[in-house]
Formats: sequence, structure tokens, C-alpha cells
Amino acid sequence: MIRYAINRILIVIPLLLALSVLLFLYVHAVPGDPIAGMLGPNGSPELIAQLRAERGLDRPLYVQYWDWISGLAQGDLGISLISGQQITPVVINRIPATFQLTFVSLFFTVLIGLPAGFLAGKYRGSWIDKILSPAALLGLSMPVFWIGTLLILILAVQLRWLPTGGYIPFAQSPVDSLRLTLMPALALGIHLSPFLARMVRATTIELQQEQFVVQARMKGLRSRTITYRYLLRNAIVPVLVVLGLQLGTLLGGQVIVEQLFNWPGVGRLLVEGAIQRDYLMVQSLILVVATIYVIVNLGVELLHAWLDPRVRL
Amino acid sequence: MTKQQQRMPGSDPLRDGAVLDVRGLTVEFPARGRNVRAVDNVSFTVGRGEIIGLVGESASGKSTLGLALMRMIPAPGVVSAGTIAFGGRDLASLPEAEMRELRGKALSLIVQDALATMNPVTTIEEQITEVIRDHGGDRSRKSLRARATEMLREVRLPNAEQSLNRYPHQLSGGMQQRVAIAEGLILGPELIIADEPTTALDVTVQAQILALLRDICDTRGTSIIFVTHDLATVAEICDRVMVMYAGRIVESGTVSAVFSKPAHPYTKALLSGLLPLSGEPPAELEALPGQPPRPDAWPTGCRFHPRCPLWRALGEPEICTTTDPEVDESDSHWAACHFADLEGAGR
Ligand code: SF4
Repeated sequence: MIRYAINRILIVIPLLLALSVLLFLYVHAVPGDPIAGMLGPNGSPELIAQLRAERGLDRPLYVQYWDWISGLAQGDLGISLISGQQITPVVINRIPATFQLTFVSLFFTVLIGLPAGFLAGKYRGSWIDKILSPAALLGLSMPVFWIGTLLILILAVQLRWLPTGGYIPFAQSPVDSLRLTLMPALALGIHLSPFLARMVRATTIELQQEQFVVQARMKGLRSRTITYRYLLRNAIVPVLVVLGLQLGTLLGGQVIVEQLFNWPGVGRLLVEGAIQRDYLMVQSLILVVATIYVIVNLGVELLHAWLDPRVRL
Repeated sequence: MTKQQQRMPGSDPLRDGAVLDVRGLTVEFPARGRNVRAVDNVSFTVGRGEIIGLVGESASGKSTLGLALMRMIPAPGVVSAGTIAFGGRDLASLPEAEMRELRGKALSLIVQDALATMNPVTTIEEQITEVIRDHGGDRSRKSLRARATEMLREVRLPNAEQSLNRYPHQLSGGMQQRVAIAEGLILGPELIIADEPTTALDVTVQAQILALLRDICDTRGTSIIFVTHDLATVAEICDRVMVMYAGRIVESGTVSAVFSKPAHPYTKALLSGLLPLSGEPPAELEALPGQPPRPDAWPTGCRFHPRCPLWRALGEPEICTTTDPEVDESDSHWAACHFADLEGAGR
């Protein structure tokens, strides 16, 4: 198991390095100077040159890249193009909010997607399936900002159960913090769960035809045993894989949802950076997000290996 | 003229009374608006401690018959007629809840691909003990484990104790089959239906598993219905043999009687394929001319007539195409052929 983990990590490192080079080239080597772009038509050549020197952008590209990447290795994300401030503390500041939203979103995704998919698959063709399958299709076709807006309209504006947005740190007031997390997380959960439900449904249908499930009935096992130990336990494995894959969608959705619900996470920082044309910020943030994506996927893979003994070999 | 009467003195099939008595069992599947009979009006008995070979080609209905006894015919198929007397009950009409309790406890089914029949994500220990637990057996983890170990020893699994902590895929094919047998045996069933349990294994392991099954019958008094297409295996471990063709049993008798004096042309064809001059018997039933018929198009009269060498040799008599051969199933050796006794002593 440990060997397996180390192997996977060794594969991930060159992947991230390659990504960093691509990102760097994308930001620095594309035509158009970031500083000139930032200052717009008002930027005089002197001002541009001055800023370039200040931010170290006049040095050769390989020096800049080395600077950036060696800084990253030490947890230094560089400085913001706009404010000239260190990026790392700003990001660290935003991480708790992002993690909280991610976690609760995944929770809702599984809470909705797993039972819905499992029931639809187990009772395929029944009324449950006939309701859930079109509902999943509907969910798949709704953009996340639309779901979010709908939730705001219903839960906040009409029913006045929840505030329209905002954020309170969990440490400050857990209950209020979770109340505020509810809507953005639900929006993401509704957005992500249809895909999960469809996967789980397909898996459950397949599982029921598997010989070992048929044999479980031949052995006279109780239907509860078959449902939990044979069907559900084996259906969990693809759930994990799907969640790992969907993390990209989740992070993307988060950028939108954080904006919509005024949620101060990394996603909104990214949007702010992009709007202000803070290329250095965008470059570092994307790499951070990619790293999180890769690490979580690695974790999912290890969990998968732990849950399905056949993968471990 | 309608019956084959070859009594084998001293071979009563119902030694200590029948464990299983099947009468007129019929299994139907709806297909294109009508019902096809995969198993058609089959009757037989199984004695205590007896191993009965059920031989036939793939579409003959032999596996379906095994599933019917477990009441596990896949929907939309149904047992549409007949009785299955077992332990004082009729399995054909037993409520599903009671049937569930009997499965794995009073009668077990062991199939070919043991690995595919095991839950990939649970250990051998869990798989064996859950059978006990789900049949209301004891719940203490320690004694469950002890019982599982003992059972694995009985099926001669090497390292029984350690194997309990393994997952199915970590065992060899032969070990997997032993575990599957242990699962089927743990609650001491009276009847085991073994559907090609050794086909996927290599020859040495095959011989070991067969010897094990024979031992279990002899020591525990368990009866086995051994479903196979391999006549060599039947000759090796079975007491009696039933030959199935097109949803029906066409010949039944003790292994010695059927193998020395096969009465049905189909059985003869099978057996002649078994005896080539070289040592290795191919035992392939496909050696017969023509294709085995399909359940949705059973031939009229004697279902074997389109492929029957005797029918052709006799100048294609009409009776074979119009009338089902009748048999007296209480005879110890019988064959469903109008001309069985013409040929009966012919070998
Ligand atoms: S009844 Fe006729 S067709 Fe059928 S096996 Fe006998 S001879 Fe052949």
C-alpha cells in the first residue's frame, strides 16, 4: 500500500511541473505585455518600464520561472502584480472558506446523488426510477449559476429562511457559518449530484446482474445483507472515482458560486485577479487549484485501493 | 414397444428413501408472445448420499433444471407445472420467504466460476460466516470464525486459518472452488446442485475437487446433482446418470448400466464420442451431426429425430416425428425411444 502511494506521488510531481511550465509560458510568452495591458492606454512607456523592473518582469524568462518555481517550493506564491503584496497570506486567508464550501458541497452531492442513484438502479423501471431519472437529466442541464439564483429567489427572497449570501468564519460562529454555507453548497450539490446519481444507477444495475449477487441469493442471504454488503459496498467504489473526477467541475462551479453568494474563497480571488488582470496572481492560483485537484485525486485513488482490494495488488 | 425395460437387479436408486422427488417439472419462458418450455415435464428422484449426473448439451435445459430446484429461474421464466418434494415440502409452491431459508441451508448450488460468485470486497471469513448469520446461526465472532476454519479444513484448503483473512481474488482457482464448496456445505445441506463445478479448473485440481465431493457424499450422506457436459466426470464419481436432451430426460439409469448398455441413440452417440482410439477422450457433445434444437423450436414427436442415426437407419419411421416416446420413470434404467429395445443390447 505504501509503495503504491509513493509510486503514485512520483508520477504526480512531473505532471505538476509540466503544468507550471505551461502556465508560466501562457502568462508570459503570449503576445502583449501584462503591465501594458494592466495600465491600459494611460500607461506611459516610462511607467511601464518602472513597474516591469519593480516586479522583476524585465529579467530573462528562465530566471523568472526559476524564481517563481523555487518560491512555490517554499510555499511562496510570489507577489501580486497590482498591489505588490505577497500572494501566499492572501490565499491562506481564503482557504478555510474554500475548504468549508468544498466539503459541504461534496457532502450534499453524495447525500443527494448516492441514494437517488442507488434506489433508481435497485428499483429500475419502478416509479422511483421514473421520477429520478428525468430529474437527473434536468439537473444535468441546469447551469450552476441558474440553480444558485433559483435557490436565492426561493429560500432567501421568498421564504426568507436564509440570507442571500455572505460568510462568517466557522470558528467565530459554527451555526451561522453553516447556515451561510447551506445555499452555495446546496447549489453545487444539486449541480454535481445528477452525474453521480447516473453513475451509481448504472453501477447498481450492473451489480445486480453480477454472478456474485445472484449467488448471494442462492446462498439464501437476507435481502438486507445483499443490499448493504453486496450492492451498496460495491457501488461506493465508483462513487469515489466519480467524485475525484468531478472535483474539476466542482472547483469550476465554485468560482461561479462564490461570486454569486459573495463567498470569499479562492475561487473569488481568482475571479478578482482575472478582472484586475493580475497575471501573477492568476498564474499562482491556477497552479494551487491544480495541485489541490491532483492531491485530492491521489487521495481518492488511495481510498479506492483501500476499499477495493483488487486494486491494491 | 413404448417402454424400455432393463432392470438392473440390486441397484435400487432410492437406497435410504428419496431426498428429492421431482414430478412433471416444467419451466417456461415467455418468448415472442408465447411460452417456450426450457424444461418439459421432467421427473426423477435423488436418493440419500447419491450422486446423480445430469448430462446434456448447453441448451438442453440441464442448468435451468438446477436453477428450478433452487427456485432461482431468472424472471420472466417460471416453474409452470410439477412438484418438487424435498424435506416434506413442495419447493415448487413454497412461499419465497421460506424458500430463502432453505437456500444455502438445506440445498446449495455450486457453480463453475467460483471467483465470479464471491463478493470481491469482503474477506473469505465474512463470506462464509454471513451464510451462518443470515440463517439465524450463532453470532459470536469467535465461534463463527472457528466454524469457518473447521469447514475450510474439511474441504482441504491449505492454510485454512490464514485464508480466512484473504480476499477471493488472492486465492488460486482450485482454492476458490474449495471455498465455494465450503460456503455451500457450512450449514450441512441435504442436497447440493453442482453445476459444472470443475470445468474451469486444470485436470489435477479437477480430480481433487471431484474426490472431495465424493468424500462429502460418503461421509455426510449429502446428495449431489452433478450437472455437467463431461461424461468422463460422470463415470468417475456418479452413481446414476440422467441424460437430458431438448428439455427432457431421455435416458436414466445407474452409471454402470447406462455406460455399458446405453439404450437411447443420443446416449450412444455421446458415448461413442467418448471412446476414440487415442487416450484423451474429447467428451465434446458437439460431435453429433446437426445443431442441438432451441427451446423455441423443439422438434415434434421425439425431439431427437432430426439428428437421430437410428431413425435414419430405420428408414425414418413416422412414429418418431409424431409421437413422444413414453417411459416408465420408476424403472431403474429407461430410455425415451420408440425403438430402444431394438438397439438395447447392440453394444
Ligand atoms: S424415438 Fe425415434 S427418433 Fe427418437 S431416439 Fe428413438 S429412434 Fe431416434
